[in-house]
Amino acid sequence: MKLIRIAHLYYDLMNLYGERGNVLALSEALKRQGAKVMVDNVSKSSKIDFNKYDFIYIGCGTENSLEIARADILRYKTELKKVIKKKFIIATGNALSLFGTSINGREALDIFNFKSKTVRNRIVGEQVYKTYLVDGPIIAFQNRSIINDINENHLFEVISGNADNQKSKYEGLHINNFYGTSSIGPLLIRNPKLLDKIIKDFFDEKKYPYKEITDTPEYQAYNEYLKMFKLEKSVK
Amino acid sequence: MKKILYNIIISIVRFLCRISKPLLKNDTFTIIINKVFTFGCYILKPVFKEDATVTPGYYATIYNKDILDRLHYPKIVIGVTGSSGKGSTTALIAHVLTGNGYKVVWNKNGSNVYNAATTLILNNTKAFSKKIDADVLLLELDESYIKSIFNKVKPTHLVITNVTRDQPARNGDADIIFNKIADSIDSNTKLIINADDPIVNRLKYMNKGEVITYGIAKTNDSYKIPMSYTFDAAYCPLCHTKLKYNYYHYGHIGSYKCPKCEFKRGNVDYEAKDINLEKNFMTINKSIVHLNKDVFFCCYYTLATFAICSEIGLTTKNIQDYLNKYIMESKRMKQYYLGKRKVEMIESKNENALSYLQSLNYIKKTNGTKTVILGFDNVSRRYSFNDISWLYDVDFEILNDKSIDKIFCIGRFRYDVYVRLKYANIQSDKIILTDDLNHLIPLVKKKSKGKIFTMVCFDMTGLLKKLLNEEEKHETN
Repeated sequence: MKLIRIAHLYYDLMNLYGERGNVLALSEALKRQGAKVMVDNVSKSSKIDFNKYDFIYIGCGTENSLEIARADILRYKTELKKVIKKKFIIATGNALSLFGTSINGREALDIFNFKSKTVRNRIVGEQVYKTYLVDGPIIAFQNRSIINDINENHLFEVISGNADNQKSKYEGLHINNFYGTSSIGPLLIRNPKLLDKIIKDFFDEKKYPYKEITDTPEYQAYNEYLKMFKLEKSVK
Repeated sequence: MKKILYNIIISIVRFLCRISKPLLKNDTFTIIINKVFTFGCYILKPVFKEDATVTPGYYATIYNKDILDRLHYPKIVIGVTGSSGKGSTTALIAHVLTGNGYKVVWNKNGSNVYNAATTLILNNTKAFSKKIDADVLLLELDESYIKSIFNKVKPTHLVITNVTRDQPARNGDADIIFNKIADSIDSNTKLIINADDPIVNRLKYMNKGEVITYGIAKTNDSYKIPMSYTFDAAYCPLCHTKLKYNYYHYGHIGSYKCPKCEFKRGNVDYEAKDINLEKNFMTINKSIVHLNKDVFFCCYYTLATFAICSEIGLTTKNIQDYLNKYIMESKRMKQYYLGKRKVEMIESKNENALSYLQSLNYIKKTNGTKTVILGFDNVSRRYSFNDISWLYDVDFEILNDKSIDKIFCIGRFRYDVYVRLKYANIQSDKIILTDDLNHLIPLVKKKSKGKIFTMVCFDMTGLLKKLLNEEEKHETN
């Protein structure tokens, strides 16, 4: 197994709500499978070669930070379009909007076909979703002021909480190996099944041997959370 | 039972307000009613065990919305706001000003929302002349309410301590907090700001009125590289270039400079240096001042107090008298012991990552072997969301230290805390998950060593005190 590389994109700009936890989660899960992992913190001042990474993670930022990131990431527009199908990319919070066509009418990466705009009233609250990727509920939190008009390739179906926009029943975007959600925080730590599904897909693609490991504190915390809030049967 | 009584009282109050609605349009009557309600709340305090600081002001403003516009304010009106430290700063300012003969009206109990400010102001207003009976009105203000209060009460001075991520589920983020403060200021207010904070320091570049700055020089504990991943202001607010730091005190607080434009911490009007926490003193612009606590954030509230008191005309000696001679006692909690082991209960808010971080640092820096009890049942006193993101905003890696013997995880979210500690690379045999709180004290006694620190949220402090008291009684018997 060769070295697996993760880019934590705009680590110093898009890091609002404990999102570093997701990079730790990816890295730990890969190491549990016996892989060697290297995480590169890259940002505005870096010259990024996306080709060398297996995983790219980008988290949530303030409205100002998102604007700085938006203006900066455009320099990689062509390159990102080229690698989008090959790489595992995970975006949480308002970072998802960078991959659509526009944010408040301003140019975005235009990789996926949806628009985003900011709204006056913040959307804040606990989330329970289901997804065709894994069984059991997904638990998450949202704290945002941006909405996305995503019409297809949904990542989650909302059981309780907030969809992409008021008209939708779905949240997030999943195309090939791109996973985007408006949820914030350590999503991949809180949802070990989802994390393992992503890691397994990656291993299968690379034809690396994958072993299922579920006796971890993360699984325990996930199960306890479901028990505490009586969510075990929230997803059929 | 209590709830029924509460509902009956509220219904009576509502009924009284409704029938006297025309009268309540009269300011004098409103002021009297506010005082009567406050007295009523005071009498009922033993029943409800809560300070009713908000209720009287709430009813006053419902029926007489603009009463605050028509009062006569003292010559000096000071506001104190920021994400952390505003309570301690306000208390120390009140101490120094009162000591120097000023009559100060201030929110002693830390109740800092709009209706609480109304209650406070009306209680100290003469009913007929509508004059506030004070030389100084000093208000600790919650950032979210500052605009609504400043629409009514124009401060002559505003102290801003810092802006960091704080109660994210309620406040959003640091930019949002900053904008709320910035939008509420007009150019007639003199600002006294912490220039070590690049978010607060934006005001130096955008505010039309006078801005006075304070800051702390490099200390022996300053960091060369950021100590935390939690970073709210890495980039220049003017030109979006990454800021260069000379040193960090904590988080984004330190000395910084934009490599491209004019934005920088620069020289400050009031600078603290030569900090000696062991001997409790530091110097501000060459004057020695006493620190009433041996923690770093005490330097900031003492410095802010020195700055604002100087700005309103006190001499250095006047200020030093009440910082150095007649020292304000810092709040001391009852000291608990478990056998011969000291127990220190630290109350830190989960929702303010940088405050929490400083508490962890304080534990780490304390000499000797230590045991830590961590946990919470609810994330916040202010909201009911179970947002546990903050666990990853705080560098629990600090507890990955030889001097920490054991860490006990308690509370509803103990498994999430446990996972966080694992990610901080703390060995499993150091962490003890305690499902049953009745087992906590015996487990701590049997399985751990050293001084005990508790870092639990407000909702569990009472419970721990109860357990410790029971244990003390048990031991003395």
